[in-house]
Amino acid sequence: MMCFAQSVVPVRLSASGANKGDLDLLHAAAGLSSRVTALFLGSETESFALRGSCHACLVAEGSSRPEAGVLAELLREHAGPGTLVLMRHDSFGMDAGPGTAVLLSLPFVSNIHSLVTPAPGVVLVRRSENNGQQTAEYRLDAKAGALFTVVPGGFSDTSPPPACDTVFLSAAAPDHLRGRRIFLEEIEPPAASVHLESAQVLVALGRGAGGADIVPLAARLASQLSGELCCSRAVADAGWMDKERQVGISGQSVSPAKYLAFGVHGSFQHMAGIQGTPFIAAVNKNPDAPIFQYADVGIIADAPTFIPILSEALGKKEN
Amino acid sequence: MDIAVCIKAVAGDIAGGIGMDQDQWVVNEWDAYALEEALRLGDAMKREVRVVSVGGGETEFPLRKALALGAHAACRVEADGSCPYMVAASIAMLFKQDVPDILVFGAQSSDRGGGQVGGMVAALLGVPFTALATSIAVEGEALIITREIENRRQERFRMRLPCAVSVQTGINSPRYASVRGIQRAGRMPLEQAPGPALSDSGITLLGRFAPERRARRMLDGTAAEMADTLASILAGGTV
Repeated sequence: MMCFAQSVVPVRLSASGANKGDLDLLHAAAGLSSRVTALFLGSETESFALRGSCHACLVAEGSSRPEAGVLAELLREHAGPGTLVLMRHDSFGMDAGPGTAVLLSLPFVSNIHSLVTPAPGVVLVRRSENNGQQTAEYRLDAKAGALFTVVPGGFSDTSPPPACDTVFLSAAAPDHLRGRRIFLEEIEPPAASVHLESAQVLVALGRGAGGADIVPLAARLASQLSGELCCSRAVADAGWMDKERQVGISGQSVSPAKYLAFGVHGSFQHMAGIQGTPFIAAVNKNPDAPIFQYADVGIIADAPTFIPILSEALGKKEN
Repeated sequence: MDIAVCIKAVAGDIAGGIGMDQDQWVVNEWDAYALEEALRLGDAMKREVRVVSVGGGETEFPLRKALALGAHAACRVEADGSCPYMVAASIAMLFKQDVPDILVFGAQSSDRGGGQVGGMVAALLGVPFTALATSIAVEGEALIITREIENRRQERFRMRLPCAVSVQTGINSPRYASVRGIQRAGRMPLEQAPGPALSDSGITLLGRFAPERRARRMLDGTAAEMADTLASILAGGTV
Protein backbone atom coordinates (compact mmCIF):
# COMPACT_ATOMS: atom_id res chain seq x y z
CA MET A 1 0.00 0.00 0.00
CA MET A 2 1.33 3.45 -0.94
CA CYS A 3 1.28 5.09 2.45
CA PHE A 4 3.17 8.28 1.74
CA ALA A 5 2.68 10.95 -0.92
CA GLN A 6 6.41 11.52 -1.05
CA SER A 7 9.59 9.96 0.23
CA VAL A 8 13.12 11.36 0.29
CA VAL A 9 16.31 9.35 0.53
CA PRO A 10 19.59 11.17 1.21
CA VAL A 11 22.26 9.45 -0.92
CA ARG A 12 25.93 10.01 -0.16
CA LEU A 13 28.34 10.62 -3.06
CA SER A 14 32.04 9.88 -2.94
CA ALA A 15 34.85 9.47 -5.45
CA SER A 16 33.83 5.82 -5.78
CA GLY A 17 30.23 6.71 -6.65
CA ALA A 18 26.87 6.82 -4.93
CA ASN A 19 26.53 4.85 -1.70
CA LYS A 20 25.07 1.45 -2.61
CA GLY A 21 23.19 1.06 0.67
CA ASP A 22 21.53 4.44 0.18
CA LEU A 23 20.58 3.60 -3.42
CA ASP A 24 18.90 0.42 -2.19
CA LEU A 25 16.68 2.58 0.00
CA LEU A 26 15.42 4.37 -3.14
CA HIS A 27 13.96 1.09 -4.32
CA ALA A 28 12.39 0.46 -0.92
CA ALA A 29 10.93 3.97 -0.94
CA ALA A 30 9.38 3.37 -4.36
CA GLY A 31 7.17 0.69 -2.83
CA LEU A 32 5.99 2.95 -0.03
CA SER A 33 5.29 6.28 -1.70
CA SER A 34 3.94 7.55 -4.96
CA ARG A 35 6.77 10.05 -5.47
CA VAL A 36 10.41 9.34 -4.60
CA THR A 37 13.05 12.05 -4.37
CA ALA A 38 16.74 11.21 -4.22
CA LEU A 39 18.75 13.85 -2.38
CA PHE A 40 22.34 13.31 -3.52
CA LEU A 41 24.85 14.79 -1.07
CA GLY A 42 28.51 15.55 -1.63
CA SER A 43 31.17 17.42 -3.50
CA GLU A 44 32.05 14.48 -5.75
CA THR A 45 29.32 15.30 -8.22
CA GLU A 46 31.39 13.87 -11.09
CA SER A 47 30.70 10.47 -9.56
CA PHE A 48 26.98 11.14 -9.87
CA ALA A 49 26.33 8.69 -12.69
CA LEU A 50 23.15 7.02 -11.53
CA ARG A 51 19.97 8.99 -11.44
CA GLY A 52 18.21 6.71 -9.04
CA SER A 53 14.87 4.96 -9.03
CA CYS A 54 13.11 8.16 -8.32
CA HIS A 55 10.82 10.80 -9.75
CA ALA A 56 12.97 13.75 -8.73
CA CYS A 57 16.67 13.99 -8.22
CA LEU A 58 18.31 16.74 -6.18
CA VAL A 59 22.08 17.11 -6.02
CA ALA A 60 23.15 19.12 -2.99
CA GLU A 61 26.75 20.30 -3.37
CA GLY A 62 28.53 20.23 -0.04
CA SER A 63 29.38 17.63 2.55
CA SER A 64 28.28 14.08 1.78
CA ARG A 65 27.53 13.72 5.49
CA PRO A 66 26.05 17.05 6.61
CA GLU A 67 25.08 17.64 10.21
CA ALA A 68 21.43 17.42 11.24
CA GLY A 69 20.79 21.15 11.01
CA VAL A 70 21.92 21.33 7.37
CA LEU A 71 20.09 18.15 6.36
CA ALA A 72 16.91 19.35 8.06
CA GLU A 73 17.10 22.66 6.16
CA LEU A 74 17.41 20.80 2.83
CA LEU A 75 14.49 18.53 3.66
CA ARG A 76 12.36 21.40 4.94
CA GLU A 77 12.87 23.21 1.66
CA HIS A 78 12.40 20.29 -0.70
CA ALA A 79 10.12 17.81 1.07
CA GLY A 80 6.49 18.56 1.67
CA PRO A 81 4.44 17.69 4.74
CA GLY A 82 3.76 14.00 5.24
CA THR A 83 7.09 12.96 3.73
CA LEU A 84 8.83 9.67 4.53
CA VAL A 85 12.60 10.05 5.02
CA LEU A 86 14.78 6.93 4.87
CA MET A 87 18.45 6.85 5.92
CA ARG A 88 20.93 4.11 6.69
CA HIS A 89 21.61 3.35 10.36
CA ASP A 90 25.36 3.86 10.01
CA SER A 91 27.76 6.64 10.89
CA PHE A 92 25.68 9.15 8.90
CA GLY A 93 22.26 8.01 10.09
CA MET A 94 23.41 7.93 13.72
CA ASP A 95 25.00 11.36 13.39
CA ALA A 96 22.27 13.27 11.55
CA GLY A 97 19.10 11.16 11.80
CA PRO A 98 17.88 11.87 15.35
CA GLY A 99 18.47 15.62 15.17
CA THR A 100 16.83 15.88 11.75
CA ALA A 101 13.73 14.11 13.06
CA VAL A 102 13.50 16.52 15.99
CA LEU A 103 14.07 19.61 13.85
CA LEU A 104 11.36 18.51 11.40
CA SER A 105 9.01 17.20 14.16
CA LEU A 106 8.91 13.79 12.50
CA PRO A 107 8.23 10.58 14.45
CA PHE A 108 11.46 8.60 14.36
CA VAL A 109 12.45 4.99 14.84
CA SER A 110 16.06 4.00 14.31
CA ASN A 111 17.71 0.84 13.10
CA ILE A 112 14.60 -0.80 11.62
CA HIS A 113 14.81 -3.94 9.48
CA SER A 114 11.25 -4.09 8.18
CA LEU A 115 8.48 -1.64 7.40
CA VAL A 116 4.89 -2.29 6.30
CA THR A 117 1.96 0.06 5.80
CA PRO A 118 -1.28 -1.75 6.72
CA ALA A 119 -3.48 1.36 6.37
CA PRO A 120 -3.09 4.96 5.19
CA GLY A 121 -1.09 6.91 7.72
CA VAL A 122 -0.18 3.82 9.72
CA VAL A 123 3.26 2.20 9.67
CA LEU A 124 4.45 -0.97 11.40
CA VAL A 125 8.21 -1.27 11.82
CA ARG A 126 10.35 -3.97 13.31
CA ARG A 127 13.77 -3.61 14.90
CA SER A 128 16.18 -5.74 16.86
CA GLU A 129 16.31 -5.05 20.61
CA ASN A 130 17.74 -6.39 23.87
CA ASN A 131 21.16 -6.93 22.43
CA GLY A 132 19.77 -8.58 19.31
CA GLN A 133 17.91 -11.28 21.21
CA GLN A 134 14.42 -9.99 20.50
CA THR A 135 12.52 -8.36 17.67
CA ALA A 136 10.28 -5.45 18.67
CA GLU A 137 7.33 -4.22 16.62
CA TYR A 138 6.16 -0.60 16.76
CA ARG A 139 3.09 1.09 15.33
CA LEU A 140 3.42 4.69 14.19
CA ASP A 141 0.96 7.36 13.35
CA ALA A 142 2.80 8.65 10.28
CA LYS A 143 0.19 10.95 8.74
CA ALA A 144 2.56 13.87 9.22
CA GLY A 145 5.49 11.90 7.82
CA ALA A 146 8.21 9.91 9.53
CA LEU A 147 11.95 9.34 9.55
CA PHE A 148 13.51 5.91 9.82
CA THR A 149 17.09 4.72 9.81
CA VAL A 150 17.40 1.27 8.28
CA VAL A 151 19.84 -1.41 9.40
CA PRO A 152 22.79 -1.83 6.99
CA GLY A 153 21.86 -4.42 4.39
CA GLY A 154 18.14 -4.08 5.01
CA PHE A 155 15.78 -3.49 2.05
CA SER A 156 18.27 -4.38 -0.67
CA ASP A 157 17.00 -4.40 -4.24
CA THR A 158 18.80 -4.73 -7.54
CA SER A 159 16.06 -3.78 -10.01
CA PRO A 160 17.22 -1.22 -12.58
CA PRO A 161 16.31 2.38 -11.80
CA PRO A 162 14.38 4.60 -14.20
CA ALA A 163 15.84 7.94 -15.23
CA CYS A 164 14.48 11.26 -14.01
CA ASP A 165 15.15 14.98 -14.11
CA THR A 166 17.91 16.43 -11.97
CA VAL A 167 18.05 19.69 -10.04
CA PHE A 168 21.31 20.99 -8.58
CA LEU A 169 21.19 22.77 -5.20
CA SER A 170 23.61 24.29 -2.77
CA ALA A 171 23.96 22.58 0.60
CA ALA A 172 25.82 25.43 2.24
CA ALA A 173 25.05 25.68 5.94
CA PRO A 174 22.51 28.41 6.75
CA ASP A 175 23.94 31.46 8.54
CA HIS A 176 22.81 30.42 12.00
CA LEU A 177 24.62 27.07 11.71
CA ARG A 178 27.75 28.26 9.94
CA GLY A 179 30.98 27.52 11.77
CA ARG A 180 29.52 25.55 14.64
CA ARG A 181 30.76 22.23 13.24
CA ILE A 182 33.59 22.35 10.75
CA PHE A 183 34.83 19.32 8.85
CA LEU A 184 38.61 19.12 9.08
CA GLU A 185 39.70 15.93 7.34
CA GLU A 186 38.94 12.35 6.48
CA ILE A 187 41.52 9.93 7.81
CA GLU A 188 42.37 6.85 5.77
CA PRO A 189 43.23 3.75 7.79
CA PRO A 190 46.84 2.59 7.95
CA ALA A 191 47.69 -0.16 5.46
CA ALA A 192 46.61 -3.48 6.89
CA SER A 193 49.28 -6.09 7.54
CA VAL A 194 46.68 -8.86 7.24
CA HIS A 195 44.36 -9.23 4.29
CA LEU A 196 41.12 -10.48 5.72
CA GLU A 197 39.22 -9.43 2.61
CA SER A 198 40.81 -12.20 0.55
CA ALA A 199 40.72 -14.95 3.23
CA GLN A 200 38.53 -17.91 2.33
CA VAL A 201 38.30 -19.13 5.92
CA LEU A 202 37.97 -16.84 8.91
CA VAL A 203 38.06 -17.83 12.57
CA ALA A 204 36.38 -15.05 14.51
CA LEU A 205 36.60 -14.40 18.23
CA GLY A 206 34.05 -12.43 20.20
CA ARG A 207 33.80 -11.33 23.79
CA GLY A 208 32.37 -14.73 24.73
CA ALA A 209 35.61 -16.44 23.69
CA GLY A 210 37.02 -15.88 27.18
CA GLY A 211 40.19 -13.83 27.22
CA ALA A 212 43.40 -12.99 25.40
CA ASP A 213 44.85 -16.40 26.24
CA ILE A 214 42.48 -18.05 23.74
CA VAL A 215 44.05 -16.19 20.81
CA PRO A 216 46.99 -18.62 20.26
CA LEU A 217 44.59 -21.60 20.28
CA ALA A 218 42.31 -19.85 17.79
CA ALA A 219 45.35 -19.00 15.65
CA ARG A 220 46.27 -22.68 15.56
CA LEU A 221 42.73 -23.54 14.47
CA ALA A 222 42.85 -20.88 11.75
CA SER A 223 46.17 -22.28 10.56
CA GLN A 224 44.72 -25.81 10.38
CA LEU A 225 41.97 -24.44 8.13
CA SER A 226 44.39 -22.31 6.07
CA GLY A 227 42.50 -19.28 7.27
CA GLU A 228 42.97 -16.03 9.16
CA LEU A 229 41.99 -14.81 12.59
CA CYS A 230 39.56 -11.95 13.00
CA CYS A 231 37.47 -10.52 15.81
CA SER A 232 34.51 -8.48 16.94
CA ARG A 233 34.73 -4.90 18.15
CA ALA A 234 34.67 -5.95 21.82
CA VAL A 235 37.80 -8.06 21.33
CA ALA A 236 39.63 -5.23 19.56
CA ASP A 237 38.55 -2.78 22.28
CA ALA A 238 39.86 -5.18 24.93
CA GLY A 239 43.18 -5.37 23.12
CA TRP A 240 43.27 -9.15 22.60
CA MET A 241 43.75 -8.52 18.90
CA ASP A 242 44.80 -5.58 16.78
CA LYS A 243 42.10 -3.28 15.46
CA GLU A 244 42.96 -4.22 11.87
CA ARG A 245 41.48 -7.67 12.50
CA GLN A 246 38.10 -6.24 13.52
CA VAL A 247 35.26 -7.24 11.20
CA GLY A 248 32.21 -5.05 10.99
CA ILE A 249 30.70 -1.85 9.74
CA SER A 250 33.54 0.24 11.18
CA GLY A 251 36.18 -2.45 10.63
CA GLN A 252 37.07 -4.73 7.74
CA SER A 253 34.58 -6.00 5.19
CA VAL A 254 35.19 -9.66 4.45
CA SER A 255 33.77 -12.21 2.03
CA PRO A 256 34.99 -15.65 3.11
CA ALA A 257 33.64 -19.02 2.05
CA LYS A 258 33.60 -20.18 5.68
CA TYR A 259 33.17 -18.10 8.81
CA LEU A 260 33.63 -19.76 12.19
CA ALA A 261 32.40 -17.53 15.01
CA PHE A 262 33.48 -18.34 18.57
CA GLY A 263 31.82 -16.34 21.32
CA VAL A 264 30.71 -13.75 18.76
CA HIS A 265 27.41 -12.23 19.81
CA GLY A 266 26.32 -11.31 16.28
CA SER A 267 25.40 -7.62 16.44
CA PHE A 268 24.23 -6.09 13.17
CA GLN A 269 27.34 -3.89 13.22
CA HIS A 270 29.53 -7.00 13.11
CA MET A 271 27.42 -8.98 10.65
CA ALA A 272 27.24 -6.03 8.23
CA GLY A 273 30.95 -6.57 7.62
CA ILE A 274 30.39 -10.08 6.26
CA GLN A 275 29.64 -9.94 2.55
CA GLY A 276 28.28 -12.69 0.33
CA THR A 277 26.73 -15.87 1.68
CA PRO A 278 29.46 -17.76 3.52
CA PHE A 279 28.95 -20.97 5.44
CA ILE A 280 28.69 -19.75 9.05
CA ALA A 281 29.31 -21.96 12.07
CA ALA A 282 28.57 -20.33 15.42
CA VAL A 283 29.72 -21.52 18.82
CA ASN A 284 28.25 -19.64 21.75
CA LYS A 285 27.09 -20.64 25.21
CA ASN A 286 24.19 -18.18 25.01
CA PRO A 287 21.39 -19.91 23.06
CA ASP A 288 19.73 -16.53 22.45
CA ALA A 289 22.80 -14.93 20.88
CA PRO A 290 21.75 -13.37 17.56
CA ILE A 291 24.71 -15.01 15.77
CA PHE A 292 22.55 -18.15 15.63
CA GLN A 293 20.07 -16.26 13.44
CA TYR A 294 22.75 -16.12 10.75
CA ALA A 295 24.41 -19.50 11.26
CA ASP A 296 24.22 -22.58 9.05
CA VAL A 297 25.45 -24.67 11.96
CA GLY A 298 24.95 -23.68 15.58
CA ILE A 299 26.64 -25.16 18.63
CA ILE A 300 25.71 -24.17 22.15
CA ALA A 301 28.99 -24.53 23.98
CA ASP A 302 31.62 -22.59 25.84
CA ALA A 303 33.80 -21.23 23.02
CA PRO A 304 37.20 -21.31 24.81
CA THR A 305 36.61 -24.93 25.80
CA PHE A 306 35.35 -25.92 22.35
CA ILE A 307 38.19 -24.45 20.26
CA PRO A 308 40.89 -26.97 21.31
CA ILE A 309 38.41 -29.85 20.99
CA LEU A 310 37.62 -28.78 17.41
CA SER A 311 41.35 -28.45 16.69
CA GLU A 312 41.87 -31.99 17.87
CA ALA A 313 38.94 -33.28 15.77
CA LEU A 314 40.33 -31.54 12.69
CA GLY A 315 43.75 -33.01 13.44
CA LYS A 316 42.26 -36.51 13.43
CA LYS A 317 40.56 -35.84 10.07
CA GLU A 318 43.88 -34.64 8.63
CA ASN A 319 45.52 -37.86 9.74
CA MET B 1 28.09 25.78 32.59
CA ASP B 2 30.03 22.62 33.20
CA ILE B 3 30.03 19.18 31.62
CA ALA B 4 27.00 16.91 31.59
CA VAL B 5 27.03 13.20 30.94
CA CYS B 6 23.85 11.21 30.40
CA ILE B 7 23.79 7.56 31.41
CA LYS B 8 21.24 4.76 31.28
CA ALA B 9 20.59 1.84 33.60
CA VAL B 10 20.28 -1.45 31.72
CA ALA B 11 19.28 -4.83 33.09
CA GLY B 12 22.23 -6.63 34.63
CA ASP B 13 23.02 -9.41 32.23
CA ILE B 14 21.29 -8.69 28.96
CA ALA B 15 23.39 -11.34 27.29
CA GLY B 16 22.31 -13.96 29.79
CA GLY B 17 18.63 -13.19 30.14
CA ILE B 18 16.17 -10.76 28.69
CA GLY B 19 13.81 -8.73 30.76
CA MET B 20 13.61 -5.70 32.95
CA ASP B 21 12.47 -7.57 36.05
CA GLN B 22 15.98 -8.43 37.15
CA ASP B 23 17.11 -6.96 40.41
CA GLN B 24 20.50 -5.89 39.20
CA TRP B 25 21.09 -2.86 37.04
CA VAL B 26 24.31 -1.73 35.47
CA VAL B 27 25.58 1.31 33.63
CA ASN B 28 25.03 0.87 29.89
CA GLU B 29 28.37 -0.17 28.35
CA TRP B 30 28.64 2.83 25.99
CA ASP B 31 27.71 5.19 28.82
CA ALA B 32 30.57 3.89 30.97
CA TYR B 33 32.93 5.19 28.27
CA ALA B 34 30.94 8.44 28.07
CA LEU B 35 31.26 8.92 31.82
CA GLU B 36 35.00 8.32 31.72
CA GLU B 37 35.38 10.77 28.83
CA ALA B 38 33.35 13.40 30.68
CA LEU B 39 35.50 12.96 33.80
CA ARG B 40 38.67 13.31 31.70
CA LEU B 41 37.34 16.45 30.02
CA GLY B 42 36.35 17.78 33.43
CA ASP B 43 39.89 17.22 34.72
CA ALA B 44 41.45 18.81 31.63
CA MET B 45 39.14 21.84 31.60
CA LYS B 46 38.84 22.23 35.39
CA ARG B 47 35.07 21.88 35.18
CA GLU B 48 32.54 20.00 37.28
CA VAL B 49 30.82 16.95 35.83
CA ARG B 50 27.09 16.46 36.34
CA VAL B 51 25.58 13.07 35.60
CA VAL B 52 21.95 12.61 34.58
CA SER B 53 19.77 9.55 34.16
CA VAL B 54 16.13 9.36 33.12
CA GLY B 55 13.81 6.76 34.59
CA GLY B 56 12.70 5.42 37.97
CA GLY B 57 14.42 3.66 40.84
CA GLU B 58 16.65 1.68 38.48
CA THR B 59 18.71 4.81 37.91
CA GLU B 60 20.01 4.94 41.50
CA PHE B 61 22.79 2.39 41.08
CA PRO B 62 24.27 3.93 37.93
CA LEU B 63 24.06 7.42 39.41
CA ARG B 64 25.75 6.34 42.65
CA LYS B 65 28.41 4.56 40.64
CA ALA B 66 29.05 7.72 38.63
CA LEU B 67 29.44 9.70 41.87
CA ALA B 68 31.82 7.06 43.18
CA LEU B 69 33.91 7.42 40.04
CA GLY B 70 34.21 11.18 40.49
CA ALA B 71 31.12 12.94 39.17
CA HIS B 72 30.35 16.06 41.20
CA ALA B 73 26.54 15.87 41.12
CA ALA B 74 23.88 13.41 40.01
CA CYS B 75 20.29 13.96 38.98
CA ARG B 76 17.46 11.59 38.18
CA VAL B 77 14.68 12.84 35.92
CA GLU B 78 11.46 11.00 36.72
CA ALA B 79 10.12 10.03 33.30
CA ASP B 80 9.60 7.07 31.00
CA GLY B 81 13.15 5.92 30.33
CA SER B 82 12.06 3.50 27.62
CA CYS B 83 11.00 6.19 25.13
CA PRO B 84 14.00 7.82 23.41
CA TYR B 85 12.17 11.06 22.68
CA MET B 86 10.91 11.29 26.27
CA VAL B 87 14.46 10.74 27.53
CA ALA B 88 15.81 13.40 25.19
CA ALA B 89 13.06 15.88 26.07
CA SER B 90 13.67 15.28 29.79
CA ILE B 91 17.39 15.98 29.48
CA ALA B 92 16.79 19.02 27.27
CA MET B 93 14.26 20.43 29.73
CA LEU B 94 16.73 20.01 32.60
CA PHE B 95 19.41 22.00 30.77
CA LYS B 96 17.31 24.44 28.73
CA GLN B 97 17.99 27.42 31.01
CA ASP B 98 21.68 26.70 31.50
CA VAL B 99 23.12 24.68 28.62
CA PRO B 100 26.28 22.75 29.58
CA ASP B 101 29.44 23.50 27.61
CA ILE B 102 29.68 19.84 26.68
CA LEU B 103 27.05 17.08 26.79
CA VAL B 104 28.47 13.57 26.53
CA PHE B 105 26.44 10.48 25.62
CA GLY B 106 27.12 6.85 24.85
CA ALA B 107 26.65 6.10 21.15
CA GLN B 108 23.80 3.65 21.91
CA SER B 109 22.39 1.45 24.64
CA SER B 110 22.90 -2.29 24.77
CA ASP B 111 19.21 -2.98 25.38
CA ARG B 112 17.46 -0.77 22.84
CA GLY B 113 20.37 -0.08 20.51
CA GLY B 114 18.76 3.05 19.09
CA GLY B 115 21.51 5.66 19.23
CA GLN B 116 18.89 8.41 19.25
CA VAL B 117 19.10 10.38 22.48
CA GLY B 118 22.32 12.40 21.99
CA GLY B 119 21.34 13.76 18.59
CA MET B 120 17.83 14.54 19.77
CA VAL B 121 19.01 16.44 22.86
CA ALA B 122 21.44 18.46 20.74
CA ALA B 123 18.66 19.43 18.32
CA LEU B 124 16.31 20.35 21.18
CA LEU B 125 19.00 22.54 22.78
CA GLY B 126 20.17 24.01 19.47
CA VAL B 127 23.78 22.85 19.81
CA PRO B 128 25.91 20.91 17.28
CA PHE B 129 26.34 17.18 17.66
CA THR B 130 28.79 14.54 16.48
CA ALA B 131 28.18 10.81 16.87
CA LEU B 132 30.58 7.90 17.36
CA ALA B 133 33.61 9.78 18.70
CA THR B 134 36.79 7.79 19.09
CA SER B 135 38.84 10.71 20.39
CA ILE B 136 38.02 14.11 21.89
CA ALA B 137 40.53 16.91 22.44
CA VAL B 138 39.97 20.42 23.80
CA GLU B 139 41.15 23.33 21.67
CA GLY B 140 40.22 26.67 23.19
CA GLU B 141 36.46 27.11 23.03
CA ALA B 142 36.04 24.10 20.76
CA LEU B 143 36.44 20.34 20.70
CA ILE B 144 38.39 18.44 18.07
CA ILE B 145 36.39 15.26 17.54
CA THR B 146 37.65 12.24 15.67
CA ARG B 147 34.86 9.84 14.84
CA GLU B 148 34.72 6.54 13.08
CA ILE B 149 32.88 6.08 9.83
CA GLU B 150 32.73 2.96 7.71
CA ASN B 151 35.52 0.62 6.57
CA ARG B 152 38.13 1.61 9.17
CA ARG B 153 38.05 5.24 8.04
CA GLN B 154 37.67 8.17 10.40
CA GLU B 155 36.85 11.85 10.05
CA ARG B 156 37.71 14.84 12.17
CA PHE B 157 35.62 17.89 13.07
CA ARG B 158 36.03 21.05 15.08
CA MET B 159 32.87 21.70 17.14
CA ARG B 160 32.29 25.00 18.85
CA LEU B 161 31.12 24.94 22.47
CA PRO B 162 28.47 24.40 23.64
CA CYS B 163 28.10 21.08 21.88
CA ALA B 164 27.09 17.46 22.30
CA VAL B 165 28.96 14.29 21.40
CA SER B 166 28.30 10.56 21.59
CA VAL B 167 31.22 8.22 22.17
CA GLN B 168 32.05 4.79 20.83
CA THR B 169 33.37 1.97 23.02
CA GLY B 170 37.16 1.81 23.19
CA ILE B 171 37.60 5.61 23.27
CA ASN B 172 39.23 5.26 26.71
CA SER B 173 39.73 2.81 29.57
CA PRO B 174 37.01 3.41 32.16
CA ARG B 175 38.38 3.74 35.69
CA TYR B 176 37.40 1.66 38.69
CA ALA B 177 35.78 3.15 41.77
CA SER B 178 37.90 3.42 44.91
CA VAL B 179 36.54 2.40 48.33
CA ARG B 180 36.78 6.05 49.36
CA GLY B 181 34.83 7.06 46.27
CA ILE B 182 32.09 4.53 46.99
CA GLN B 183 31.80 5.75 50.59
CA ARG B 184 31.66 9.37 49.44
CA ALA B 185 28.98 8.54 46.85
CA GLY B 186 26.80 6.93 49.51
CA ARG B 187 26.68 10.22 51.43
CA MET B 188 26.02 12.46 48.43
CA PRO B 189 22.47 13.54 47.60
CA LEU B 190 20.74 12.48 44.41
CA GLU B 191 18.86 15.39 42.89
CA GLN B 192 15.48 14.70 41.39
CA ALA B 193 13.68 16.57 38.65
CA PRO B 194 10.29 16.06 37.03
CA GLY B 195 10.04 14.96 33.40
CA PRO B 196 8.21 16.98 30.77
CA ALA B 197 4.48 16.65 30.20
CA LEU B 198 4.41 15.36 26.65
CA SER B 199 1.51 14.36 24.50
CA ASP B 200 1.40 10.94 22.86
CA SER B 201 4.52 10.42 20.72
CA GLY B 202 2.48 8.52 18.14
CA ILE B 203 4.81 5.52 18.50
CA THR B 204 3.37 2.44 20.25
CA LEU B 205 5.27 -0.71 21.15
CA LEU B 206 3.08 -3.62 20.03
CA GLY B 207 5.29 -6.36 21.44
CA ARG B 208 8.63 -8.11 21.55
CA PHE B 209 9.24 -11.65 20.38
CA ALA B 210 12.03 -14.05 19.52
CA PRO B 211 13.55 -13.42 16.08
CA GLU B 212 12.08 -15.53 13.30
CA ARG B 213 15.21 -17.13 11.94
CA ARG B 214 17.31 -19.71 13.80
CA ALA B 215 20.43 -21.59 12.75
CA ARG B 216 19.78 -23.96 9.86
CA ARG B 217 21.08 -26.85 11.95
CA MET B 218 21.78 -26.92 15.70
CA LEU B 219 24.19 -29.68 16.71
CA ASP B 220 23.80 -31.61 19.91
CA GLY B 221 25.72 -34.26 21.81
CA THR B 222 28.95 -34.03 23.73
CA ALA B 223 31.51 -31.37 22.84
CA ALA B 224 33.68 -34.04 21.20
CA GLU B 225 30.75 -35.33 19.12
CA MET B 226 29.75 -31.84 18.00
CA ALA B 227 33.39 -31.00 17.19
CA ASP B 228 33.68 -34.19 15.13
CA THR B 229 30.51 -33.34 13.18
CA LEU B 230 31.66 -29.77 12.55
CA ALA B 231 35.12 -30.99 11.51
CA SER B 232 33.46 -33.33 8.98
CA ILE B 233 31.34 -30.50 7.59
CA LEU B 234 34.40 -28.24 7.33
CA ALA B 235 36.30 -31.01 5.58
CA GLY B 236 33.73 -31.03 2.81
CA GLY B 237 30.69 -32.75 4.22
CA THR B 238 27.19 -31.34 3.87
CA VAL B 239 25.27 -29.39 6.47
